[in-house]
Amino acid sequence: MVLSDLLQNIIGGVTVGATYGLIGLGVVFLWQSIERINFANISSAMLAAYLFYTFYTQLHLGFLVAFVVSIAIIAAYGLALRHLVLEPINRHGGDKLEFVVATLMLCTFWLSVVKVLYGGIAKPFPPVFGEATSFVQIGSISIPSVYFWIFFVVLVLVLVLYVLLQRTMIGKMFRATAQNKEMASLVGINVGMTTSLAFMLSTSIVGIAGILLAPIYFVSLDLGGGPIGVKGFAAAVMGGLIDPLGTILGGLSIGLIENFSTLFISSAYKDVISFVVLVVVLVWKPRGIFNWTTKGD
Amino acid sequence: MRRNLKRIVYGAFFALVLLLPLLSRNEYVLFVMNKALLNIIVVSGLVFLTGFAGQISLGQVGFVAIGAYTSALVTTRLGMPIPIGIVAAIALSAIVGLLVAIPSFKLKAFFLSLVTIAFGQIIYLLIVNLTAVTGGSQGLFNIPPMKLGGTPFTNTLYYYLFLVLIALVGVLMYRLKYSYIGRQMFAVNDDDVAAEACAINSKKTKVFAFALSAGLAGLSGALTAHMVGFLTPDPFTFFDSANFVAMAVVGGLRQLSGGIVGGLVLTWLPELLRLNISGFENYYLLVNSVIVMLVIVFLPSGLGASLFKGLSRLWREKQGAVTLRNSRSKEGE
Amino acid sequence: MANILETKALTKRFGGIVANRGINLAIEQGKTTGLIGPNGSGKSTFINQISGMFPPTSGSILFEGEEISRKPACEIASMGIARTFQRIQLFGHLNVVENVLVSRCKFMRASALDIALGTARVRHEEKAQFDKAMEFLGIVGLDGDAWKLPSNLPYGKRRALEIARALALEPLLLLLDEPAAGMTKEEFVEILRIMEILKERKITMLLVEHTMEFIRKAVDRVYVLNFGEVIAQGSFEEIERNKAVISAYLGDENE
Ligand SMILES: Nc1ncnc2c1ncn2[C@@H]1O[C@H](COP(=O)(O)OP(=O)(O)OP(=O)(O)O)[C@@H](O)[C@H]1O
Ligand SMILES: [Mg+2]
Repeated sequence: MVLSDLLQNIIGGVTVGATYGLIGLGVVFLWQSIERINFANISSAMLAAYLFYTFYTQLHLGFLVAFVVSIAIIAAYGLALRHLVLEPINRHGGDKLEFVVATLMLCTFWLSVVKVLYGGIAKPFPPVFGEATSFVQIGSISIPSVYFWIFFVVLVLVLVLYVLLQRTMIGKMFRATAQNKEMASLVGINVGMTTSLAFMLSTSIVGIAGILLAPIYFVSLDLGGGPIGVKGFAAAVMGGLIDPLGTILGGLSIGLIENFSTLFISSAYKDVISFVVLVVVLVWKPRGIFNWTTKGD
Repeated sequence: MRRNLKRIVYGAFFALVLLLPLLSRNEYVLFVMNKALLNIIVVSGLVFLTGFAGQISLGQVGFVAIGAYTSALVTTRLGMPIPIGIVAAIALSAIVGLLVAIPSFKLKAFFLSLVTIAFGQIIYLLIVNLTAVTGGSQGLFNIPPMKLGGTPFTNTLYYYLFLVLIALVGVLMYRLKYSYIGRQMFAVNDDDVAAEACAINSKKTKVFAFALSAGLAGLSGALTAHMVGFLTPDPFTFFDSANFVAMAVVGGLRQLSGGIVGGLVLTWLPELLRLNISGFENYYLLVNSVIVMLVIVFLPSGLGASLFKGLSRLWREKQGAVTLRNSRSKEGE
Repeated sequence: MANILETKALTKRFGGIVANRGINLAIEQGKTTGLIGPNGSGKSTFINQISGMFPPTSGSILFEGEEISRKPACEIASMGIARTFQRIQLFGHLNVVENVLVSRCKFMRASALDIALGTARVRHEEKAQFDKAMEFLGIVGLDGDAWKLPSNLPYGKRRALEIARALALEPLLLLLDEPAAGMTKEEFVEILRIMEILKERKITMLLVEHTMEFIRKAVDRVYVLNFGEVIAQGSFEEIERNKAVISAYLGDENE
């Protein structure tokens, strides 16, 4: 009984944590290319979930079509973010802080847009990942079938990203640009294109995370702000804002910490504990605890 | 001639501010104005912290909350008089500010902003969950209002009280800015390594800025508690912190007037939108955020800065220095 | 004459790189000591350690007989070690005289309370320090530019401002990291003139420089670093003839 509780919590923590990791990846890709944090990072999750809801439930498109169209729109949104927010701020002499505040406002903006268009009440997510009540029974543990989906998608995504970053030209461009912009452009890397790619990659991954989280949080405003967003930042910080694998591991640890603090302390304090962990990591190891990309001195 | 123009413009402004309660008998206008004044106190602290000392705080509302709940609890649970509650609120917020400053020794910009977000969220969640102390999401009620000879303050009285406090805060900030302390802040902001090489203790400077801005936030929170009479966790979310930073940036981070301009504009803007676009209950936040984004993108130094640039062009004054008074800079010109 | 500063076996590692290895260096009171060496030989690292920017990996730094290697930078500066930076580091949002006034903060005695109350003491102090700051600007010939922003000054004047800011600390020891780097002919003449004034004022200096002409004119004693180690020391003439030094520099050039 106790053992199965433990296993149940480990599985739950790892699954939700994996999506935090994805949200963190959105932060990491942008940081690598422009050294800015998009505080509306989490908005992409909410937008993707609502888009998918619209295409699938309201417009009755097929699962795959709805999914691909939603993510394509989110990717285009990433590009728009660059050209309508980042570049104008830079052009008018704004700096990091202006980007911070603009993206914070963007976060409120999207929340109010969604509120206007869909109302404030959460919508049930279509049962594309199995009914909410469908569980897979393994021994004495029952696992919601959506967990398998999340696991599967995250795994595929991590593999794709791994290949993309380690085995293709794009990865090289990313790393070179992250290390030194001038050098990168000297050796003929198109820094502008790399930046655009980073924006698109960042919003798309967070969008996918949003669609995966929606069965758990419903299609709701919760996906667009507050605690989930901060957990994404926490995951990214654990990976030193630079190491993709470290970020996923960071997400997993936050998911686990959260589930175990629910188990051992109280669910009311699970968010408090995740935030305390974030602060402790930031202060104790500002370069991240799962960071193998930059070596400390 | 130009001198007179300047006098007339400022004179008219101050007259308007002083006579507002007489010009408008509308309690709602006064109430919103009072909220604006309370916000100005918080935002002035942020201008000091972020604009002068260069430390980002996205959890400022945490200090406001600490101040509000401290004064409320001291006056209700302990039955102490309101001034003691307010002093306790300022002191406790400032002390917590000292602690929040510690991560700023090592962390810069985004990393610090993440710590402060976490701080704000922790305070919020503690308020929601420590039901025995804070009343949780039900809130605290029957917080005593301020009284004058036995009768509770009217909105007009609160208005004048807040004006006096803002004037005091303004004088304090003005003197600090035009002193070596202000100079230290700007130096640490521009280049903390070089500042250390000039014998400036950057840690002390940051701690001072955090404590001061936290104390002001605490003051504002305590005043809010007594003016409104009840407290719930609702106005203490992350988005409220973000809104304070937006006020500071929109007003203009690098001058004292930034807090005033930002606090006034961004308190009134959503109210005006809500009042004038009827049936648009949900739209006002949307329009509000778009306007803020536009200001930030197109006027990154803030409305306050642009306003004063325009005005000083009107009376042909030159802006000479940051931490030296203008009279001195004219000598040099 | 007494040594104002001595380092003993001062070592600094960055990961695998040993930027300073067991450096023993003494700076004599009232003299100008030179520190030269090829690019990356660890000169700036040495200055950064003495001024407290990086804590040493091991070894000790004695300033007037007191161990300072674990003290924070601001305290070291306050004790009397001022410095300039290889890449000029001015306060961009403060004007020229305010930049110098930043160094005068340590002489200010008014408390925050005095300032809040706006006492006469504050006003007098501000006025006195302002006049002092203008004096230091005068030394480097910048009193005419007091109200400009540093970004509006030509490169040579920015260097001069950085020196004025360091002088305003009234230091016992002044560390100059490549003050003549990247200067035009005229600017170079001006910086030499400033060096002359500093020497007349008997200011003890540690001078890092690449320009041999400058070193020859300015220093009393030279240390030569290569790969983080002192490979030679002595008067400039001695150093010029030293084989190890020649090969370190020639080897550098052959690359
Ligand atoms: N903060 C640092 N982190 C890691 N390595 C460093 C750091 N600072 C210096 N180094 C390394 O230490 C070595 C010495 O550098 P240093 O800047 O002291 O040389 P230098 O003699 O001043 O050179 P230059 O003439 O180019 O100014 C170099 O290999 C450099 O890469
Ligand atoms: Mg150097």
